[in-house]
Amino acid sequence: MREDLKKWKSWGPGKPRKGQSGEKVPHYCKKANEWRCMVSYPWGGRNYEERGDIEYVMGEFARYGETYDFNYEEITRKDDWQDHAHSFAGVLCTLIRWPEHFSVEGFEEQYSKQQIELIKAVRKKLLVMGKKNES
Amino acid sequence: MCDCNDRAKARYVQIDRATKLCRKVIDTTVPWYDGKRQVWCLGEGSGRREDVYLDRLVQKFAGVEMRYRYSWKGETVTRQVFAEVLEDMVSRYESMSIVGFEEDYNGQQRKWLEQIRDKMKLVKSRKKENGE
Repeated sequence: MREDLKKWKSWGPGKPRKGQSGEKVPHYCKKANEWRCMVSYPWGGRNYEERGDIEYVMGEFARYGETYDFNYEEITRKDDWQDHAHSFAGVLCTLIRWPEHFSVEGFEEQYSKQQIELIKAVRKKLLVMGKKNES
Repeated sequence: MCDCNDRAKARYVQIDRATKLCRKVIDTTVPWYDGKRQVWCLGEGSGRREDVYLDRLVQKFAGVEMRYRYSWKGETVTRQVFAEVLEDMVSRYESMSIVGFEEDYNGQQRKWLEQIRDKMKLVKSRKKENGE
């Protein structure tokens, strides 16, 4: 076998480690400070390990996750071309950076009432702070 | 050898300057991420707040408190961040219920929790069958 292919095969998806062949419930690895989970391919084949934060690992485990659409730039709003995040923290991250044109208008059904209230409160505070900083 | 050390030293000085400049640029009055410690921070000095979850820090920043409630073995558990509910799901999936607290969650989160519970049960039952 070619050397580069050998290398790919050694770390590529589908390579189960010893004792990790079965699908497992997500667990927290304190040493690496991350969540881990053995998941299987939906079309069969060998299992592989997913690592990351709880929301990502749970999404891979259940094969389902959140999607939050939003607009954060004037240009994207005009062109009806929205951005999205796969966690609420991702939405907040964008909001903190670009509060001026941030909006979830048209996508309210993806958010809960309390999430929308938080977004409004954060945006309002950031804009007030921005105005104070400018003056 | 000597030349190599000088270059390494010069590079170190450059990186040190860049790091200090970045610290000056970061506005600590809004939540910011400390990549070295892998935590979200708000403020500086003795008043600095740190949290693994941005959601919770933003709630403190805005003065708005979110709540994700669920019932578990007859008691009501309240969490401030949805990720904490997911963490609880790992060990409490069998007796956890959000019935009566649906308003705390959005439609996607409710569906997600159901899917996780189903998958947990499936994986556990397979393990029992295999005698693991």
